[in-house]
Amino acid sequence: MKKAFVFAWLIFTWVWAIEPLIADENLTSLVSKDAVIVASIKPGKDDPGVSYLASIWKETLKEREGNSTKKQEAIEDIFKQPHLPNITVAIFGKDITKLYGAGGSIFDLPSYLILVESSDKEFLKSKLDVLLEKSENLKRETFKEGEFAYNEFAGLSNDPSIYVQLGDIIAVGPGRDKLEEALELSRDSKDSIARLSKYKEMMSKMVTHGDGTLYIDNRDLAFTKMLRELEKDWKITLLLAVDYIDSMGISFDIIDKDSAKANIVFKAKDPKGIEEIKNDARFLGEAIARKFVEENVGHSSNITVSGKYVILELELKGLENIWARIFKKG
Amino acid sequence: MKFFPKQIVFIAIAVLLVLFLGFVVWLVIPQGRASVDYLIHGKSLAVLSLKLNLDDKGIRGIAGLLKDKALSSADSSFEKFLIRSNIWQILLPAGVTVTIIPEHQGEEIKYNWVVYLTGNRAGKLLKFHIVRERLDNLLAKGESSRIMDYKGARLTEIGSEDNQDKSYSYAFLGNCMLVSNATHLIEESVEGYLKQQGKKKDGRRKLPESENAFRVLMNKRVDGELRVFIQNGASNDLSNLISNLEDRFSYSIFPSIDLIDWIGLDMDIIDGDSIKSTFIFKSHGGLKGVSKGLENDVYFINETLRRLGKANGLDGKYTIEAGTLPAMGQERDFIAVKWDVTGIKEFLKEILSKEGNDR
Repeated sequence: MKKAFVFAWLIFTWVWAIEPLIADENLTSLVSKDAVIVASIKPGKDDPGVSYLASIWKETLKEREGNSTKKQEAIEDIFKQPHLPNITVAIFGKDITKLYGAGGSIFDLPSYLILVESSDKEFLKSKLDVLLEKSENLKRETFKEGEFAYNEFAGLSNDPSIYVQLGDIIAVGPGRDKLEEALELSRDSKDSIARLSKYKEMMSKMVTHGDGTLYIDNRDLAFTKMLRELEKDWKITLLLAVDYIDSMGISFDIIDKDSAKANIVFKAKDPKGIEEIKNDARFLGEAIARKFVEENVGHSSNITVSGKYVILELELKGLENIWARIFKKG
Repeated sequence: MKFFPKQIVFIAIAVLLVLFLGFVVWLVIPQGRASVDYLIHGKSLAVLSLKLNLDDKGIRGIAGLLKDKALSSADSSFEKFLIRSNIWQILLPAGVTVTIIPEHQGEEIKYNWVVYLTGNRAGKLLKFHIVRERLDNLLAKGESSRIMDYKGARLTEIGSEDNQDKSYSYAFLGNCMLVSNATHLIEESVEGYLKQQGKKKDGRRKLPESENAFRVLMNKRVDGELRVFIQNGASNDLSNLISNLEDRFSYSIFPSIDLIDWIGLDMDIIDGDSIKSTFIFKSHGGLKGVSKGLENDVYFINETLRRLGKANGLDGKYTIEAGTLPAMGQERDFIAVKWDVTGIKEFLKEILSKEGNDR
């Protein structure tokens, strides 16, 4: 049961975030500036690429009807909506270093924030009630004009157990702290990550009209420490220059059913790290391209340097079969 | 006259002592270095060769680590005594060469191997019929063995018809001992050896398609150096091997492999902790041989190995350059990757400790 619950939430937050998606300022203005990982998806209504993926995903969900738990059904219902919701997931402070111990699952972290923006918030709330388990135990409480719905006895200790509605956005988390912070930021967003100059600068380097983004802040070398732990397991050093990285961004745009482009952006702490970071970017570009060569996907990559930024641009063509395979498997 | 018998005894003892000392000296002095190039099969996919000179600092460093490991794994104090006494050094060959030869069997490819041990002192003893018979019996313990004469060379085949995978043959040619999983490969080496003995020039059995490169690379070999030569050959054996691996892992490691004529590695083990090595990727044909795709492949392979090394405690300098092989006389037809790597000692210790744990 626990596994099914975690799996369902993972699908909800991360399956779409396999390709990091663009930050929506509405959502990121509710995330405090001490966030170190911010992943956002913004599946635009008229985006042909997202519409195509949504349609094959919905087809897959239809095929599985009757074989899902209530919670899985709730998540599937969200994805069956005519328009997919915008989602932002944030991890804060040194929690990033605990991600490795948590096996990459945010649901084992003491705090995180999931923000979901939907045009049909009543529908979304009804599904969240199901997701928070045992709707009869769900309590409701008003705090600073925000209605908090929570279940103290929800699944795992750090499972999402509380949500609050903030206009068109619903904030979900394992505890009140980050939700109350989001409530404060909904009134005055000056301390939000969306107002943080380094975050804004990083977003300006991302793919324009992208479907999603991932922002990683290497504050206090927390990302370095997490990556080093992962590299011990992988038995390969992925980023030799990670110590020189101040922050990192990834953005992805699914242009149509067949093509996509992505930017991987590294910001150097110091200009002397630029050459090493460029080498890491080239290696990453080659490593990614080689996976697509085997799949007969056309690809091109380009590395540019702009001030302290190293930008790896990737373009892929011939993805239709791969999408079908991923979503059929998923 | 009455002391005559004593003198005889004295002289006899002296002669025996001299003979014994002579025998010991004869045994201890390594057999002369011999080139095994003319014994190597022309269709070899890969040739790996190492000179084992214990006076070399690098080889001594590695041997020291292996000795420590053997000591820690030895069960009895007698075994420990034998290891500490360094008697094993006498049995070491002066050079080891391993070749891999693909054999096409319909759709399947079987990878045969031949090991050449040169200059081994033990080989001197094994030339004596009685000693050789003892070795044959020892190796064939529990298995069937067959002794054959092939054009004057004595071949011993050990194993059974039921278990072909574990069968092997061996023979001595001059001061070289050959071991292989395929008897016919030893027979072909015998022919090469006999032609060489007859000084027939066409008897040299070097890799035909990369003859110059093979000579340049292998004959530069010095003590403490490991050399590896991998050729693509007319039947594109290397391309096929890499393609099969790529299909299995659904990942392209070397998409430009078809452009490759041969790959060479020259590794100097400087001491127990560092190595200096050069990888050479030689493309087919001059100026147009080195494409952007090939450069990217070599870059990716170098970076992957560098990053795997880094994760295992190996550090160093890595450079890539495209250029000309002097002996080949062509321009920009190869890419060389040069490594100066340190941290070998801890790396090997780690591997050896894992080896122990696995057991």
